[in-house]
Amino acid sequence: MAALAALATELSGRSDAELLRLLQLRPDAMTPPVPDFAALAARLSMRTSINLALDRLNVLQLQTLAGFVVGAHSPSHRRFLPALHDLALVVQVSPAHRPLGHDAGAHHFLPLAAVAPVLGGGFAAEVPPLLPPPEPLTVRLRIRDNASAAAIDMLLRGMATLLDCASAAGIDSLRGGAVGVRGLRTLAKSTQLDEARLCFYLELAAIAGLIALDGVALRWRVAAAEWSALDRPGQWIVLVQAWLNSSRPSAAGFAPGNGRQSPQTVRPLAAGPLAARPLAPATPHRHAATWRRNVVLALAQLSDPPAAAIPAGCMPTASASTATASTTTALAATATTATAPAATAPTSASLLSFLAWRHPRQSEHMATQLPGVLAELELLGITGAGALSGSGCAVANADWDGAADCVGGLLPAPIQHFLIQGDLTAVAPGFLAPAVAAQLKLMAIPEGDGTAGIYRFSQGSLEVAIRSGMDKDAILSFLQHHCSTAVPQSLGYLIGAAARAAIAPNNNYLPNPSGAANNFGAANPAGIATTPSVVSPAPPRQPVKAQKFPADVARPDAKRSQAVHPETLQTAATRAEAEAQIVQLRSRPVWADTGGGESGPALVMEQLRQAVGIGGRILLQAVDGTGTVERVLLEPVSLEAGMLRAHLPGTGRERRFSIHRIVAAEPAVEEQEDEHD
Amino acid sequence: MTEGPLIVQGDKTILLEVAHPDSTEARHAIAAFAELERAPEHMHSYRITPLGLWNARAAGLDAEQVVNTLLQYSRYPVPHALLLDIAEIMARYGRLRLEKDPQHGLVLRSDDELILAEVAHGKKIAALLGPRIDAVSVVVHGSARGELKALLLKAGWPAEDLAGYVDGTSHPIALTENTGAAPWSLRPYQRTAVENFWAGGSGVVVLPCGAGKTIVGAAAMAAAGTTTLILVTNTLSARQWKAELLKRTTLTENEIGEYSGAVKELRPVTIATYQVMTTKRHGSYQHLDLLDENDWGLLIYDEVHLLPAPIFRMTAELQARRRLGLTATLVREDGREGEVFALIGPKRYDAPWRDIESQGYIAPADCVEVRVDLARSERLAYATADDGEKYRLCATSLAKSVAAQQLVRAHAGEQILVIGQYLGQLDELAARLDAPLINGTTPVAERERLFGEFREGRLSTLVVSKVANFSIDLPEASVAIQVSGAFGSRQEEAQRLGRLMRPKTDGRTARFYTLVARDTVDADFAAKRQRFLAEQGYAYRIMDARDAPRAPDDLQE
Repeated sequence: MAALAALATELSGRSDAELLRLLQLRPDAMTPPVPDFAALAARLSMRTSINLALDRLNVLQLQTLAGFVVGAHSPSHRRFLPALHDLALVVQVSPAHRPLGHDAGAHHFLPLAAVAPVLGGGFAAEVPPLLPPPEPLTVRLRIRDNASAAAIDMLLRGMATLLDCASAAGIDSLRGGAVGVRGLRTLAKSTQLDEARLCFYLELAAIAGLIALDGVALRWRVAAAEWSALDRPGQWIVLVQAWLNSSRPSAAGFAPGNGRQSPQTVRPLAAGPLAARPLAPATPHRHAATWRRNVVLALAQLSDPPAAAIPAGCMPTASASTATASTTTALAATATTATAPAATAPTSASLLSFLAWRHPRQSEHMATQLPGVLAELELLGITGAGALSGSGCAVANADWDGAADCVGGLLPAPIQHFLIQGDLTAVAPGFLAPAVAAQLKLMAIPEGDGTAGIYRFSQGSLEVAIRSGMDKDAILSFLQHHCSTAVPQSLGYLIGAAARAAIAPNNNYLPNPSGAANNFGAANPAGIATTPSVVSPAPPRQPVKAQKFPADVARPDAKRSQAVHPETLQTAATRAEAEAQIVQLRSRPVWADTGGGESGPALVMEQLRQAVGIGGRILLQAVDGTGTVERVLLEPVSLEAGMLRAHLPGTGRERRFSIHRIVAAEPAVEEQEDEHD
Repeated sequence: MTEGPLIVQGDKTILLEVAHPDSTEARHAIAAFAELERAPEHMHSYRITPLGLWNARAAGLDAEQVVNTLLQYSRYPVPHALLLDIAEIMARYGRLRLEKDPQHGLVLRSDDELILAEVAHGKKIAALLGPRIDAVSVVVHGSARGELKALLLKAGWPAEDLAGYVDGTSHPIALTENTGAAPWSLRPYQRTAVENFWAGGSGVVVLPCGAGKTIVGAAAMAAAGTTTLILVTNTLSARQWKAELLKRTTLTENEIGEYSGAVKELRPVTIATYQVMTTKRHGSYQHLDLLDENDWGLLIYDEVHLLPAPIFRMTAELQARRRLGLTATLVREDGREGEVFALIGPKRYDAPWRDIESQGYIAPADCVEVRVDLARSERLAYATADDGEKYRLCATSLAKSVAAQQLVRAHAGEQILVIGQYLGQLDELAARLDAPLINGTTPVAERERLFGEFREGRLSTLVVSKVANFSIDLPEASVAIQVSGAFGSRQEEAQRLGRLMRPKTDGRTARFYTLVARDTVDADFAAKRQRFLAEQGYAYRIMDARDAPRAPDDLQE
């Protein structure tokens, strides 16, 4: 087995490209950055880090590693060693160690000593021993692209509406941040979003740092107003990146199905743990981000043609058979539309089998998480009708510029004009530019829900506009400027009437039950403050849970990121951090901080374990209760439960040391023994 | 994305851009499964409902065709949840079937015993079912066909009715198209409406007032060639129907009977009023037997939006007979449009009013809201009145009478109707205008005389209450002044405008004035009343009473 020192030395001998790949595969090892290779080796040998690395392994890789650790070498597993080496789970050794190691072609490998205790027994029984063949369903490209584009459009519109609400009066929360049932209902009504979708949007807004909790007022408030200023593809990318990196559990789920459901019929519903109480405090899940990425990558790899590279030896044997559920006929490629261009999407079951095989250690959790992740993928538009969309493929490849282009092509461009009709409605036949829409909302009440904006004028709604500071001429000029048809005579009359009514000092003989006073609420479903005298939200306080806004990732004109290897699905920030880390490592000796640095404790423990294993002697330095450092020569017997048991050589007496009191341990050389004697 | 004429919204509405070159094609494509909701000048709005989708399935359309139509004509992405809904809803149709079994009579069958078990579990449905034949079939009481269909529809499992219709007693009827001294022919939209109705078996035809719904009824009778029962709103309307049938068909006086409060004639074609059918004596409906006294092959419901509840129940028992509903305004303030569809049948034809107008079949109309100011004393009374009294106080303002008089003078020489809700106000107006008044207490003979004189031009102004809201054919009326109404009733507003919509001989535009008291609940109700017409493309103008048209003499004053 390779020791820490050997790993540190081996790491220092790796090329920059190999190190980059390692750090991208195991980013936890450089969080925070390490000073030297010894510290990096110590990080990579930590139980938690090894656990994360093992979670990445597929069945064959795990079997190879397990066999390798116990010394069972199978030639068929030889091809998986380079991948394990990439992850620093096995160490490439010099020819001197050859008889003990495994010969993989021209290379010689040893398992890392720290891996064996973490590896444990097997994994869940239902993990298939061989890579299961995919069971693809056919989805017409038109259906896929439509579903994805509609979801993205809805997401961005919904998020904008949600932020409107949050920017006005904030979103009521319970202690701890959760939005209560009643608050959720009210919010659903004012945003016209169904509660399931709203839960997900709330979670997404929080993890993207768009809203933050004002812990004093117990309200969620807008924390990153600049998101609204981004172009729509940029907005989408901010949300997707936040989702990919989030450690929150899933907030969405599936409609209860009959088990035969195909992803085409995915209907996201509130079913996840946070569905009933969005934004509730939840323990961050260390695997959540990994799971999401794994699902996206698996979808990419199971797409036809694959949207992401599949590692060698992992390509499943295609035995595609087109299957369609009865209710999905209209949305699937059927006999009559067989000629229509189509994509394939795995069924939920086959996707789960694939993921279980690729990541067997996560299979149990994945089974519970997958429905939520798939539902969220639909809500984000990364998949459409269960198939990875064009923009989703770009996300899987971390090609953010490509994703932005794709989304830009799918979504309608903002328009500046609307039509006013005789029934006193203004209809924007498309996505109305937010600035124009905001102005129009001041004077007319939005109706319906969809890409096209519909706004209804009434004398009451116009009086609201007058009271908010607009005058008759300003309203008319706005309408004439943006209305592509003539402004109806009746609307002109009502504007004049509203102007007169709003300034009339003494017209309160008219207790108009559905007039201006009531219309204010109706005109302003979100409670948006149109005048300081009506709503005066508390000044925004320092957000308690404000998160960093990833401002560098989605400027409309900025290069969004460089593409990286698809398997890693890392952001530009991770790559840049890895490169900076490599520069730092190269600038210092392998053991720059020996003893005092991060690698110290790990090295001590390794020395102790080694001494216990081979029965050697060590020179131990430990601190006693008074703070005095004691140097003592020992023969370690066992290391467990936080205690070191050791014999004093020659006396037969036993001594015990708490591990936390040990400050150094080094193998005893003869002179030291003599000196001690 | 395409550049199509449709925008499909997440709230299940479809917007159709009228000016788009493909709008006609798209309109025809979606008409099969979406209902026209609003038809203002630029963007028409359709709604996708389960009923519409099931009707489309009944007409042979499947979900794939509906989805393809939406994707083909939609300008922007269509919400995927909506497409899923469409597929799911349409898949429900036909899972239950009503069939005629030679041994058991009417039976309800399903291909899934669980669905049958689910619906049969409901108390109301269970009461209509007989013994189980097997796991997937159950006997249905013969008279329960309609009620069962309505309940199954409500439960979300619409039954496909394969039990067929009874033909009724044969009675040949033919249209007198292109014959006689005044040759006429069916208009294209009337022909389409009849064809759609006949192909569907039963259903509702929606056409604007004055667009010739009676002729659609006559053509349906000619297509059926059977004994027919026609249900109408009142005696005057019954007589108008009779006159029209004599004019348009080969039927003779002896073949058409009137069944009303005054006369009880049972003939191969019988015209009965809703009122006589729903008259109760000793706690029971005396005249419902009429329905069974003849083997009717066709039932026609005029002004089907006014169908009273007992007729609803009676209709439920008549599902084996063909049914045709006719209306201009299928908006019920009681929200029972769904029952009309379930019991009479789906909407078979509907055309935007403005489309018919542009073809010259109904008169163009100019709708004007005239705002009057309450006098100071009236304002005080209004401000201190109970809520229940407020509307009456502002609706009957003296300022309205003055404005109405001004308008009547301005339109001297034209045929003018002054329409209102409150009898006191109408009495005052009749006196002020020196015009006869027709209200609920006016005998039928007197009404017929006055309407006759009005039609002939011997009377130029009539003051009428709500009795003239519908079914009264006054071809030469070209100006209506509405002084008050039944609160916010949209269909009353539309029906009142409808009195003016017969095309005028000189092609002039009809004027429809609504007098509204400024800054009162009257204005709110007016806005609500105008919704239906505004959504049909009738843009109201608003003006102050001082700017309203005046007679030259008044101007000199």
